[in-house]
Amino acid sequence: MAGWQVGQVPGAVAMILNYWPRRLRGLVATVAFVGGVILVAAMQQVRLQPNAQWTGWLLIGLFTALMSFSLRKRLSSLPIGMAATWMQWHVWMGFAAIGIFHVHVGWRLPVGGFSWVLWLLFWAVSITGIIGLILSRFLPPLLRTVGNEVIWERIPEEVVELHDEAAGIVQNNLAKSEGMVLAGFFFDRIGPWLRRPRFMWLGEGEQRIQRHFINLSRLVGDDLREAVEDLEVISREKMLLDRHYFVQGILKGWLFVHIPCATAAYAAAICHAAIELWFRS
Amino acid sequence: MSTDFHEIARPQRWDVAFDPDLTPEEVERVLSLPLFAGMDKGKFPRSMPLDGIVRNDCAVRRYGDKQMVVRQGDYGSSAFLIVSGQVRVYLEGDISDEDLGHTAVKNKSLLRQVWRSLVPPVQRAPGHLLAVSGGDERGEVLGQASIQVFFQDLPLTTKRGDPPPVMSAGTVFGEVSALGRAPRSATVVADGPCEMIEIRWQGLRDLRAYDKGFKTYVDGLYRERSLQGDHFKTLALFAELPESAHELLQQGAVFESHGSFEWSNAFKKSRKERLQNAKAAVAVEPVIAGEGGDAEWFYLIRAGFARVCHRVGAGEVTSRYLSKGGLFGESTLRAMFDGRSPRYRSTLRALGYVDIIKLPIALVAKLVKENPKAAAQLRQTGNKQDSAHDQGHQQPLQAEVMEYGTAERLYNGTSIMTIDLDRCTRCDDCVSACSRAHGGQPRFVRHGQVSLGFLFPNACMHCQDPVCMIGCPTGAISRNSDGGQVVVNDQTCIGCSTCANSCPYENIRMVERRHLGTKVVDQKSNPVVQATKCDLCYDQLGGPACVRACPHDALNRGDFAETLALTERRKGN
Amino acid sequence: MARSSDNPFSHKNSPFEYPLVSRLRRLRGRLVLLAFCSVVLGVVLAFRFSRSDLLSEGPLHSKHAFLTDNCQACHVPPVGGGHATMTDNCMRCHDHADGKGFVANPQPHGNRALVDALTADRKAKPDAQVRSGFAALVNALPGGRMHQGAHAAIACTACHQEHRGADGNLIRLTNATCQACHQNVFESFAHGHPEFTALARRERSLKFDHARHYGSLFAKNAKGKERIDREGCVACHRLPDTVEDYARSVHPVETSCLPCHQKDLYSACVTVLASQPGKDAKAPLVPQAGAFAAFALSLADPAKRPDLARIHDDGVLSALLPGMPLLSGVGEEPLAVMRTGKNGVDGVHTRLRPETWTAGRFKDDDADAEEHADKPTVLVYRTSPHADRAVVESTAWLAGLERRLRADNRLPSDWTKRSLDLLVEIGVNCPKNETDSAGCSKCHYAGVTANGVVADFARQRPALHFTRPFSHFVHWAERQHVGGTATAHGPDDCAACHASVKAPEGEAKNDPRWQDLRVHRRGHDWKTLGIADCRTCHKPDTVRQDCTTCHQYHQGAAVAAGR
Repeated sequence: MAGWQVGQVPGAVAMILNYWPRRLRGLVATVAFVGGVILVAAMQQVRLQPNAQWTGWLLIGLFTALMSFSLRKRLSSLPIGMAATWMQWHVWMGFAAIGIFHVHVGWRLPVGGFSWVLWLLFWAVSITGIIGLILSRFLPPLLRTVGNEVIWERIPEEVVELHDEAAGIVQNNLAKSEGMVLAGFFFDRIGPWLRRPRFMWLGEGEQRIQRHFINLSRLVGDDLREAVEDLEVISREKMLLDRHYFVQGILKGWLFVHIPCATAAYAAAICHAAIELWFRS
Repeated sequence: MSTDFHEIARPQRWDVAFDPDLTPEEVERVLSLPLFAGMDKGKFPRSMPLDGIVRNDCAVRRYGDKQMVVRQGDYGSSAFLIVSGQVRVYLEGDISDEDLGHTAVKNKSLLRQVWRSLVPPVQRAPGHLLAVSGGDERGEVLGQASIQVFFQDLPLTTKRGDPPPVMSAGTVFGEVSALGRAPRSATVVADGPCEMIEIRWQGLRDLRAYDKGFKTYVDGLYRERSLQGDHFKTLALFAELPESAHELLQQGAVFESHGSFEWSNAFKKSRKERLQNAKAAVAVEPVIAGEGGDAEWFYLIRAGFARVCHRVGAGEVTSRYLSKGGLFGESTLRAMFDGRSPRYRSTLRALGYVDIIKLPIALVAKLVKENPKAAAQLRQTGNKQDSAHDQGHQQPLQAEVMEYGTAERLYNGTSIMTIDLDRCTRCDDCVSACSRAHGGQPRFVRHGQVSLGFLFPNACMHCQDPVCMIGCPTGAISRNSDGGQVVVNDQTCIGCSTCANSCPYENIRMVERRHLGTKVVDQKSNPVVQATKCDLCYDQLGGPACVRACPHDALNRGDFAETLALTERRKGN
Repeated sequence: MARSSDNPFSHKNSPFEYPLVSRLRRLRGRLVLLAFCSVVLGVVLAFRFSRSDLLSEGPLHSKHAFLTDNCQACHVPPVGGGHATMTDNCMRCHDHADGKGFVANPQPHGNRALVDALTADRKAKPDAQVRSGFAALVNALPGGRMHQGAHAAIACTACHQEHRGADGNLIRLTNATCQACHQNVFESFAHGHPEFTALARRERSLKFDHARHYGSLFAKNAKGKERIDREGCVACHRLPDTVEDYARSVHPVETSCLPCHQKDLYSACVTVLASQPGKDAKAPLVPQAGAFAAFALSLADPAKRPDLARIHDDGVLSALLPGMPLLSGVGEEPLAVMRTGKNGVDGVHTRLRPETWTAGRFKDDDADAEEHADKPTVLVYRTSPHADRAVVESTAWLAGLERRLRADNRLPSDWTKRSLDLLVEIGVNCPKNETDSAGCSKCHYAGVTANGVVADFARQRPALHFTRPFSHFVHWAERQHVGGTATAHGPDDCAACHASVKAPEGEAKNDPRWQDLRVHRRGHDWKTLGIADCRTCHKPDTVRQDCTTCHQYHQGAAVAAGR
């Protein structure tokens, strides 16, 4: 991934290793739980007894527990366990739900329309959850390397400040000999870019901006060197802000898929259970 | 948001007196007491006359026989002048905790807390400002007057076997807690009916400021009483020594103060210099004992903080910091035992301000040498300290954290908020949780200094030495009597920004008051603000919401030692 | 310029209003609400307007397509406190009593008595090897194996599945399903399956010594040798495609046997009807007082035999006797009319064809009527040399008659003698015992019943499945094994299973198995197939060896007929 440097990845790996005892516990517990469910289901299969109903209710229970994480976040002032603990339960119960889901439906593709909806929603939630978990473990160290810690909601405001500052520099140097050149550079090249944050890592764009400044330094005299350097500093800060905007945006954005999908999946599961109960035979 | 305004009269410091029932006659009577009568009224400014201080910052208290005046362990913010009668003084251990009636703070009910978490917030109404009536809520925070505790039986002797000391009319007590922002060191119980003048520390501060004689007297008391009490028993090195040794040490002890009591201003001003020239920043700290100098004294930190550092190249590297109970000179003692010359192997500098008790090192060496257990304790401690020093370096991370924490005075904090940036996903769940727990107003912002992969947000650290309390005119900011958290009383805060200005870490924020969405303004249409800071959720079930809200174990709160351990655990390889 | 980000928390700068719920979270909350409402609304609308298409687990099989949108047909909602099981709903249509469905008996193996007998057998062998493994472990737990009494509790859905699409597989049957009950017997076909002890030969009534014919006789006969050398087994046999084909698995006798055995065959003449001597030629012929005729007439049920009634009533010889429909004019066998004289049959008078048969009398314009007017008119049935239809059908009629009489408890005590007499009369010439080779018994073996010998070779019993008494339990698809494309044996490889058993020499001749073979030479002697023969191919990693390869669960008349 662009931006990773020597020494960063080991930091992430070290972070993972620091938590391996807890993860091992979670893994063992999840495997044991899912294994137990599979064992019971296999025993029932040996006895030609159906297992769809109880595994279905187990899934509903798991879904409810998983969804309750959102509610718990609103009640942090109550002594109902640490959010980090709930998070662990959420992750491992999510993995368990994947296993139990396949005990419930069997290892095959669905056939009916609603079954497809349930299946797709479940996998959407599961995959986005796994992706989100990976993102939440690997993106923060990356973000730390960017530096310049900033709150995401403040980035537009900060970018505007940078823009105004840059505009001020240009304004102050208009009277100088190549002041218009500087102004032209600002309005044509970096001004629009400075106006708002961009949702990108800016790998290639960074080089483009650097090239602009190299070209500019050829066109202006020594009296504007300081102004150009100031503008470069502002541009670098803007790049850092863009990176923050990008990475933090991803960190916030994946939840825009995961949580609505989870809600939809939960609603669909409840409807599915209601239909099954309605047509119980 | 509504554009209408809600106009009120701007709150003032003396809107509510310390004792609203104090009559003008009683004020005159107090002024006639020798302590006040000797003061020069002309030295007091017109905005703060002596009688104003007495009328607003003093209270007349009357106690019955065996009624508790102050309780050991409680955070106190007032001093007492005995007008008539006498009191007995009981130190720690003389009266059991149960008899002292230490009880837990009554928390909010669960239902009420759930309601506040889920229902949209209601900002603090300005009406509270005007409706202070000195009830229990206020009494817990401000003074001890509401405490009505009577002892059934009191021990006739202290733990040492002596009868408890007596203080009689004309004596001032409680100034150590009031000035030092520390818990009460003793329990004082009325021995028969007695009358006292309770001076809250704002008044004490102003009296000290404008009357030199009073300052000298009170400071002298402060020093004298700081030496009292058996400090040595709690120290591992001296715990095994016999009583006779303790008495010898007590006789040889000397009390000193170094640095500035109000260090925060200088600290804030020097921030820029500290960042640019760390070496110079360290150099301005007062030296108590210099490396390589002849060792004459053995030091015990009584209050405040000190830095232990040693020379490396042209600069100095901090090896550790010392707070109350810390010792300096142990390595020198060991050197003396080994027959080497008694020289200091490190430098001791004052951080901010520090109260020390210094003991003759020859006496300490003699007493320790005679006691095998104490000698063994000394060797055990030395193995840990010397190895790091002899190696000439510490672990790089530890050294860096130590330097940073000491430079930023993080050691002062008892609840430093750290956010591990390698784990933080910037979800702001911590801030949301704080907001929900406090009626929609978060008490911190996830922004601050970044160092070593940690973010140190501007969240109140609930310092051991809360300098924010120094200037508060109404005493709105104070320590909670139960847990020691530094909290702001919304009802009495007048928004003067003194605490916010005082806080060296900029952890206090002034926010505009709103009443149901409407901005609150004074008669000149200026917004009325008040101080907001983290209160560690002291009145909530479950403790700090921010810590509990972080789903990734990124946010932690702890003192500096815990922060150091956390850094090593998370970032160490 | 100091930016607010330098310290947004500083009271000196403009305070950063931290909203309780950020803009992003508000937006996310709205998305969540939208997702939830969409799903619920979608389900409600689907439930109302397009239930089966959208809400069902999948389309129904094409055979059940008519049940689309009729969820209640199978998924009966709880009404009035109780609810039907899925099996009850299935059996509403698939019940053998109505004859609509194809499940004659949902019970396993179709024969409760059989299952009980097996259970008793199993209980008598307490040391039967218990297969180790998961299934055995499950059975060891409380509430373990399915007991015989619980057979009724096996739901249809245990083995069948719907909603898998129009072409979906309705069956989900694996070894594990069978092993829900059978797991204590053996592990698999290759390991532990019992030997085929009751592998019976097909019940056929044809005696044929393959060893003698194939080994020596054909070699002596030039024509036969030539044919056998050229065609092999298929010179006489044809591979059956279906169960019904088993009846015709041998080429017609005319091509396979008669070329050599023409002289062994004879025909009999049976006088069935005759006119009274001296009577008017136009007088009706009356049944003869032979045992066959008299017996048949006495036992026949007039109500069910309108032919017989006609004989009684008006003498119309549209049917001569019950059991001999040929004589009523069906078929193409000409009827021989002979005149008998004192010396017996003196010749065929004419060949009577049904269309000339009028009221049992010759037509007036018959050229011979005048000449033979004084001679009794007899209707003699002359059996054809082989497989005369009348003979075949009469024997089948007798067998059926025996069953009916036995069921009604009216079987005469001398039935054996009577039936034998009848058969002799029409030339069947049944053997007296199993070793007697008189008459048809030279080649045909009449099925021996408990009460005697009844020739049942007239009708081939439907090919029974291999093992007895596991009737219908095991199916055999011969075509998969012989001929076809991916088969184990080529079309000429009959000897793999049907190798003629050569007579052993010396003491081996006294081997009981050989003796048994000689005694029970039913149909054709063929190599006794054992499980080892099947295991040459039906083993792991070779061809199928799961239970459903050979066994089937549901049994009934339709199943037996079709599979």
